[in-house]
Amino acid sequence: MAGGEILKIDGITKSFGVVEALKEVSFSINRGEIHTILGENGAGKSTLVKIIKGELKPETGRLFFEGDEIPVIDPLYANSIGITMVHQELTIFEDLNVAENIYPNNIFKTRLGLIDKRKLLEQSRRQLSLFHLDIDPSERIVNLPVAEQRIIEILRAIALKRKLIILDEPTSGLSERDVKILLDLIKQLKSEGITFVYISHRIPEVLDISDRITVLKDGNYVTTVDKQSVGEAELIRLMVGREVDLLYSKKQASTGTGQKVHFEVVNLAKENFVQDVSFKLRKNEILGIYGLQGSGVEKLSQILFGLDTRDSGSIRIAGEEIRNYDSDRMMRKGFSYLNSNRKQAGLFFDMSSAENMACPVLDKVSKNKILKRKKIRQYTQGFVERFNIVIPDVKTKPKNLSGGNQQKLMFSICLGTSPGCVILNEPTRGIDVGAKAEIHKFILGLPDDDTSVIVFSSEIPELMSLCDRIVIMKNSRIVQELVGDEIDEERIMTLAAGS
Amino acid sequence: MKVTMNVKEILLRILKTKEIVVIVIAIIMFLILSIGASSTFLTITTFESLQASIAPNAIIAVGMMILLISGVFDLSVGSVMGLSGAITALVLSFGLPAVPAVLVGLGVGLGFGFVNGFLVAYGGVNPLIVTIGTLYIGRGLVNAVMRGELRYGIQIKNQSFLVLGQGMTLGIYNMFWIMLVVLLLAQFLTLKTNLGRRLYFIGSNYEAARLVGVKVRRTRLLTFMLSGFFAAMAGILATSRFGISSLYLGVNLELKIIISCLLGGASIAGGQGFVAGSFLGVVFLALIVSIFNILEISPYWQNIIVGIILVFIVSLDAYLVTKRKKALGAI
Amino acid sequence: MTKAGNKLDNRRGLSSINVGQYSIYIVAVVAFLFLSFTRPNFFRYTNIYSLVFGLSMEFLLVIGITLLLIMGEVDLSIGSVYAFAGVFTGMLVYELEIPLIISILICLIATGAIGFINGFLVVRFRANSLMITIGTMILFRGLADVLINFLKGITYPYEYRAIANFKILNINFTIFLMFIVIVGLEYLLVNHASFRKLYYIGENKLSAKIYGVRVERVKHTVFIITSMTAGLAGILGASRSGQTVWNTGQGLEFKMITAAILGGASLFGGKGSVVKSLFGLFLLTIILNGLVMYNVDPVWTDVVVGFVLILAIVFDTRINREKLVF
Repeated sequence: MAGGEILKIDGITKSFGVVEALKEVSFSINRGEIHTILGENGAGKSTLVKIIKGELKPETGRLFFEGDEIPVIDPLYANSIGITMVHQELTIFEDLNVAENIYPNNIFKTRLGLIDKRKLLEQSRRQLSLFHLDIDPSERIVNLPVAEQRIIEILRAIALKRKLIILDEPTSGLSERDVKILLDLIKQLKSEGITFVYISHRIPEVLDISDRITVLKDGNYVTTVDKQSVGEAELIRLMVGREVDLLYSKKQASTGTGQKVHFEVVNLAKENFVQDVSFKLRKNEILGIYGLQGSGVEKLSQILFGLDTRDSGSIRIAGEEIRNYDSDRMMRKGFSYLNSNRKQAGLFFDMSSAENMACPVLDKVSKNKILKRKKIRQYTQGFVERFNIVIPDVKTKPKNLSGGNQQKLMFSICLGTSPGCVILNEPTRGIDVGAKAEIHKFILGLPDDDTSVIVFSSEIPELMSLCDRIVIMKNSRIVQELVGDEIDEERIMTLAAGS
Repeated sequence: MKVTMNVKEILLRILKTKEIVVIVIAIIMFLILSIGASSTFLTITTFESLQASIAPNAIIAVGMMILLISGVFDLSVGSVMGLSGAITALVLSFGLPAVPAVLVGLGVGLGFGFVNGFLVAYGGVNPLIVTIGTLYIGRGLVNAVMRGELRYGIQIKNQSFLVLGQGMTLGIYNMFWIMLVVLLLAQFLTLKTNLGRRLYFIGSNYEAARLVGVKVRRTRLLTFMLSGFFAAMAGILATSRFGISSLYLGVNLELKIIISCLLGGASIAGGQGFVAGSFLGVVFLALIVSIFNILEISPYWQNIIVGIILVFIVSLDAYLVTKRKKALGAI
Repeated sequence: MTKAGNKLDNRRGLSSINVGQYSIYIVAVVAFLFLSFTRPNFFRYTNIYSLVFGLSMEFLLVIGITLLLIMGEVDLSIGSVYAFAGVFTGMLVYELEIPLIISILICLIATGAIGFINGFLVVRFRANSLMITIGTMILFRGLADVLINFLKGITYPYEYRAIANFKILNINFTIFLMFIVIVGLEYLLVNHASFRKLYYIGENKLSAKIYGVRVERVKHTVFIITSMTAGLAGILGASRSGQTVWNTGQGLEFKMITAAILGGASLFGGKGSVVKSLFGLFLLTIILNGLVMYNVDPVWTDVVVGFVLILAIVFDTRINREKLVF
């Protein structure tokens, strides 16, 4: 089980519309090693992994597995040659026991061709004890804690004789103890010759478990390093270090923010998601919130707008406490929400842009409840001009617009109610550089219109150029708040991902 | 770690299953019935007639259970039952001997099953609506086959055919033996063969099953064909027992079968339940119907109760699913 | 390559041509003309009138179904509510001798309550509306049967029977009602702020929620409306038949779903028009009438309906489904 290349990634390029997710990425992974792919959100990790496991087809480039080129992009094919992925969302068979989850192909047969349950349990037990796991194979898998379920999935990959196992954030949501058990298992499996491709944000963990680490940044391959030759600081620098870029000039501390508190959150908590979150948003301020996957930022955003409930804690708008609210109420209180994934929600893809714009302001564009088409057209046109949306006609549907224009449209819809505060989630996700710059300009202009902003973003440079203050979250809590000169890329990443 | 469990542990395991509740209630009901209302109970529901009314339903329930385990269901079984019975009676009246006639009837079931299965598995169409469509077509065809003077029933004179439903072996109805064979075979297959276990994998996680190499679509198709086959079998047996075909055979039966299966441990979401549980559910439901009949509760109130049970089960199931999804972060 | 095809990519065949939008009108007209030319008995005043009259008895049902389908929900209990309402009102008037208008009002409240229950279960528990309403379908069919059994086959009182026969200018008022309501509702669906919300909900529930549409409340309201209109239809139907009838309204729900889908609505939500649903119902009625004209035994009715239903659903799935996983 010596080294040697098992997977060669050669010149892979993948774009989504105008966004280049991967640009000529090439490197190779050795047999029997634990190879981590490290990078920020949007660096291209998940895109690359999807290509490896056969879900996405690259524009250019090839993959070689065990020396042979992979001819077809199909997850079933990838599985059959030995590549598998253990997802964050489990792919367990919930209603079955541990043994059948490990051996779904039920290979233990008696002479008559029937399933030999005894042997199945015995083998499972053997596998489990081999890795020092005190789990009963006849136990229903749903009764196990999540950490153990993940382990079972890994054991399944082994049982199915997979050679390359991709692990996507395998330790997210696990306690320290469980993390140790999982990492020990992976190390042990490695000694059996299994190759692991490991994806994680947690740098201490990455340094603990990896043999080699490949860093991706903005779709580019940066470098591959041996674990021994780097430290935490170096890795962070590789991940986020950038040339001074015209696009992202750091925001000068704004003198315009008043001291008046517009929106305040106190001790917000939701079991398993957020804990003890408190912060203030001042009038006409742009506040940024940063956290890696699993830190609780997604859920926090939903709770703030009332899309999900909280267990405890309070929310105050201009001093007045708001109880039992939902999104409808938050809208009436002057809030607006830009969804993080416009493909999932935030637009009505198959309705005209004018109709999209009209949704939150139906009463505004109608007389006696009857919609005035002319009014809607004018209203939409106003935003088209204001935000420079490239659109042939207000009747055009979002599905026929480019990503950047879709995003601008969504932005316009949110601003339609003239909100006092907008909650933006990933405001420039998946769009071209030009549109990105435009939208950043619009966001910076919002405080002038008496609108406060909360920005949730996974792009640190973006937050740096937009925000007066940045709050960093990790493990469901707020770690730190940075203001003015304290704001620094490496510092942010260290707080979010470091030890 | 011990490889074998002692008796005590096995008993404890059994006590933890959800089927145990149903078994206990069933036993209680049976005891109440036989002791408390002994005379009426024993005359209304003799062991014999119980056999004959349970057997066909239990056979259909096996097919339904298999579908439920794999995550779908079939609402056309009642119509297929009726149609197969009617067509078998029809071809018998044309002079066809028993064996080919039975094959024709079974063929009807397989045909319907194929249509259902193909549309669901390969067409991706909602099984509920597809099988309702075939329900209508089936019901309409029954009416078409038995029209005019035939609407009161097609008499069957073929003795070898009648033996199927009316004959007894060792004091037990032939159809009951057939049911036992089907039940045991199905239970065995789903527990001990890859073919059977596949159903649980598909029902538990369709995508994951596909990715580990299970031929999900083909299996789906086969399970629907099996369901149709069993429905046909039940129809043939029931028709044989009465000696005459009936327009109303199998009407509104499908939901009662589904409820029996749900009571017997199945879940609408799939992946749960044992084939044997379907038998338990059918018996349970038969006992409840007996109690209702003794208490002289009209069949209409029975329907109301069935409706309430169904609504309750579906709501509960939905509530639990939502709860689980929210725990994983959904809004 | 992505497995999950985008909703946008699945537009193939018929629907990529915009003619698809008008196809139900075309098909209905073609069927109408076909029968008119080939069957002399078809194009007679009495026959056409009876077709239109029948339509006017059932249009109320297709309204509710269409509104729900626009939002991506269904209600399979409308046939049972139809039956229940007819008998219930009859019972109030006959047995309890409550004046007709009050009886109708009480019945509407009752059907409103049924709608409330349906809506509650679907919205609060996020239960599948298809399955929940099968349960309520059985429940209220049972209730209707209990009432019919209780009444033991009566003829409804005169004033009850008179409702359906009420004519203006020698034409049943229900026909006028149908045109007014359908046209009016269509106008509202296209132009009224509150009605447009149905389309937003059906197109993307979460987007609608984010932009302030009270999704749960709207859905709940539409369930109530659906049951109430089914109740009204049931009263009309019972009035027309004049006496208690077993199994009245059975299978209506599927006829209505088929009609709506023929009219362009989709089980997956986001589409629907009451005018087109009415034409879908019209087409279905023409087909069934055509069978009669060709001397086909009425037993084939169910078969034909079932067949058309499956056909419609298959097309709906091919055209509108986002992911193919079952």
